[in-house]
Amino acid sequence: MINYLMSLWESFVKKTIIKKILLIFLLIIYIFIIVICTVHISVDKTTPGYVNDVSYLIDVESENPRGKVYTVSVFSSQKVSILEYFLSSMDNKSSIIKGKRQTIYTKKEENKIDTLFKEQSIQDSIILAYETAKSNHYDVSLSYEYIGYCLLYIPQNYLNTDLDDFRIGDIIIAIDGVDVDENIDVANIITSLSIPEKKKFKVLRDNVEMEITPSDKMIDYLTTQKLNKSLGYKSYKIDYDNAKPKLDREKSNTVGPSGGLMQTISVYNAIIPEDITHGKRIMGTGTISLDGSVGKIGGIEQKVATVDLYDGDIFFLPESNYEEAKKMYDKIKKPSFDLVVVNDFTEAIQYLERLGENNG
Amino acid sequence: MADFKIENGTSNQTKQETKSYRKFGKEQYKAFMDIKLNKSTDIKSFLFSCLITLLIVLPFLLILIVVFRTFVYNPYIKMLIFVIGWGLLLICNGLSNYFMVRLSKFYFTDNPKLNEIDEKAIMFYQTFNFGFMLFTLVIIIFFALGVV
Repeated sequence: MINYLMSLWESFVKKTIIKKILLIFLLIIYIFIIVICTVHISVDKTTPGYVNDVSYLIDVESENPRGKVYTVSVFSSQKVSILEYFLSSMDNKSSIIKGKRQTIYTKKEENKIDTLFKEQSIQDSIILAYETAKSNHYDVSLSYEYIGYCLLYIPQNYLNTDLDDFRIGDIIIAIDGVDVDENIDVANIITSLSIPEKKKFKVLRDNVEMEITPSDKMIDYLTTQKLNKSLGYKSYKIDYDNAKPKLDREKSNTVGPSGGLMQTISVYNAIIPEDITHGKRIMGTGTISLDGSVGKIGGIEQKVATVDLYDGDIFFLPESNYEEAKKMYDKIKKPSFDLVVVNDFTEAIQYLERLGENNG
Repeated sequence: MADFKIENGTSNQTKQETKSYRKFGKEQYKAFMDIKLNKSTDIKSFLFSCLITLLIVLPFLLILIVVFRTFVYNPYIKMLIFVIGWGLLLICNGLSNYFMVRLSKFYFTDNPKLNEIDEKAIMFYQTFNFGFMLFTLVIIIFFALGVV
């Protein structure tokens, strides 16, 4: 091999000066391309993604039409090559901001939080859909029981705490020997703790019960971060087998809570006899709460671009995201879909029902 | 060695000449495979030819990957990238065979049968090898359907 390379070098030396310059120039281009494709820089990049049919995630066993209801996902990355940065900067459908995102959570912790957020959104979607259908006098039923309060924003690595301290995903089921119920504001109790006051928490961690006494470091962090509303969520156990109609769910290939509204619409449409989608491709985004309110999400511009790529008819979004969404919507030539702002789940249902009336 | 020349002519004539050149490449490849070379050197030539091919196509491959990552959301660009990727695979096949013959010639300079082999014709034949084209097309489609 070395002899072959030596022979190549000898033939290079014998070439004319012009050919030598050309070969050196090509070598420089070669190295330049390798560098710009392999050297990475820290960025916060979001691009349009794809749409997911909710029926593949939450499957309702009924003869009712499911309709075409989709959640919208985007791609995001924190490290890109120089060439990718350059190309993305020129792409008006992508958003790219140079610099490392400041966070105290490791990548693994963020993934775990996003996965739990997804679990919460699926849980709340199913409960809300069934409760709304029941209140609208449809023959449905769903049993679910409150388990406890699931903790999310616990920076284990940053605080360098032990296993017998709070962890992401811990479900608090009792405080000082008293079982927590739905009405107890667990987040408020936790964020009002004081260091001398050593409350004992019983938690469920990976289905195993254990006693936790949060460390001084943990208490200091939780009481100073004003996390009351976003520390965690109420966790319920849903009886899927005895639901009417029965339902089942698959493992999600996306994370995050932004699909909540669409999941609720999809389940609601499947458990009632009518098809409120009226054959339209319904896409949208927005977190959902058990009270039906629709919350703000990120990457809205890229989601609007995604809906355009996948030929949606209607795009539901929260009011707080409307201004941003309009910017991307106005850039689209002849958009096939309408931007519909909703503040809660009931508004979305009423919009779809009115759509059916207008179409006759 | 047959002195093969392609001259400008009508498109039918060019097609015939292309077919003939491909056929010539196939014959040359068969002739190369019939030559009994030292096994260890044969393996060396094969590995090194793959390495050189990889080094040559590396910048194109990297650009393709970066463009794919940037425009992964656009199904049309994704399809285009798969088609270009398929073309690149065919070129790799041609190039690796070309370098394999070149290296064999370098290692065995005093083999007259080997020196007569036209590596450019082999490269042409292997680049448009129907079996390889079909095989890689099936793999690309299978992969594309999984990704798209």
